[in-house]
Amino acid sequence: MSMNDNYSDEKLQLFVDDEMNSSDRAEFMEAISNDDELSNRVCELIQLKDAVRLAYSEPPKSGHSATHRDTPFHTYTWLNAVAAVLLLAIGTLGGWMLYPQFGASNDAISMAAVDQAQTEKIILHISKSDPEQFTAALNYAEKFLTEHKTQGHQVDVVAHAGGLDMMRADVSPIREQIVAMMDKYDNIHFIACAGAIKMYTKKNGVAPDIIQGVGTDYTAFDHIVGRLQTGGWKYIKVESIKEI
Amino acid sequence: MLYRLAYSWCHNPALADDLVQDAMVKALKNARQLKDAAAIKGWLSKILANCWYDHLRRYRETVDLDKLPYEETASAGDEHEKQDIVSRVRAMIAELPVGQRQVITLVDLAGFSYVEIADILDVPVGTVMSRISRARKALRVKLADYDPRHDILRAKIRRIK
Repeated sequence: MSMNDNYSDEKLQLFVDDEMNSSDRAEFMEAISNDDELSNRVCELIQLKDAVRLAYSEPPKSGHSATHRDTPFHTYTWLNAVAAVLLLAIGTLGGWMLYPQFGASNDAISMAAVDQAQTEKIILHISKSDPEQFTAALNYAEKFLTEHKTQGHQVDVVAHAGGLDMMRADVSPIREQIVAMMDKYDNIHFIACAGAIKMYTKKNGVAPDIIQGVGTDYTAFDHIVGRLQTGGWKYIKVESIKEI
Repeated sequence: MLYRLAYSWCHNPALADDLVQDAMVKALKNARQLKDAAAIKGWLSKILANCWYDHLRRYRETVDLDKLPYEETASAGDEHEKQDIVSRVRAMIAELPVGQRQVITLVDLAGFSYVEIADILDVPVGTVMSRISRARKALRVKLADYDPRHDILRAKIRRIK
């Protein structure tokens, strides 16, 4: 009897889909090497997988909406927004920057970094009570505004969660730098998350003393999503800027 | 990848585009539900699958979805041979029942494990395995029907890759 008879189609399926455990896989590999018929069955399944991959390797692109509804934003814009907002929601990813010289990148960053060269407006998002990190972000913003003096460039510095401390007049060790930046540049805006303010107030029974001139009208989530949907904005989560 | 999956399910570029956009909107609205960054691929695929189901439910009232015609797209020139195979395989997959179509593309295109697919489609792992098995058996039969000498077809697929 051929060993081929001992292996059902379902067993072969586990092999080609990489669902076999290591011991079964080793045993199966041994069987294949000794049984041409079994080997042919496996090859046929692998070729089927290849055919499916080939069939959709270059799917046709859509030039219009099937429902003909208004779609003001290109899909890429949505991908940008989703990537950024998911990072915002998760809040546990490693530090990253969109500019390559400042750190690592990943798939989500790649999506958010579309049209980096044309970026005129950036959102710097900070979620930790970390003066060093916030200072690095301010230095980054200053460099960006200094190097891009033409009309239209803009920087939003958005703080939520622990980052709110950096925008509190009573405790922020970098209050003076923030005020100086606001005085020096018309095109930089600081936003303290309305949700974080609400939580602080609920917890402490009193509203935080936010630095004068810092916006408090929107949550970080709403502000960032709103910016990304208008186009031209690039989202940067600041967690580990080592140097500027 | 999301667009490729959506297209492999519906075989309509414009609808695939809409499904991806719908999935993106839902992902945005539910962003806070995602706790594990590593799970984002499966999470987005699950949302896309739900958008596809929503579309099917709306559409099922008037059309037998498993009998929807495959929408052929134009091809030309040197790519003719490759496009011929691509079109035929797409047509074969389009003829599969929706459930089988989804699992075969999730495992072969997106590379999800059976457990991940079970979570995305909200079905037992055993169902995933049986659907994959049935889908592949059907594809093998269709492939053989298309060309009794399908060794030649397979050789072409290898060569084109």
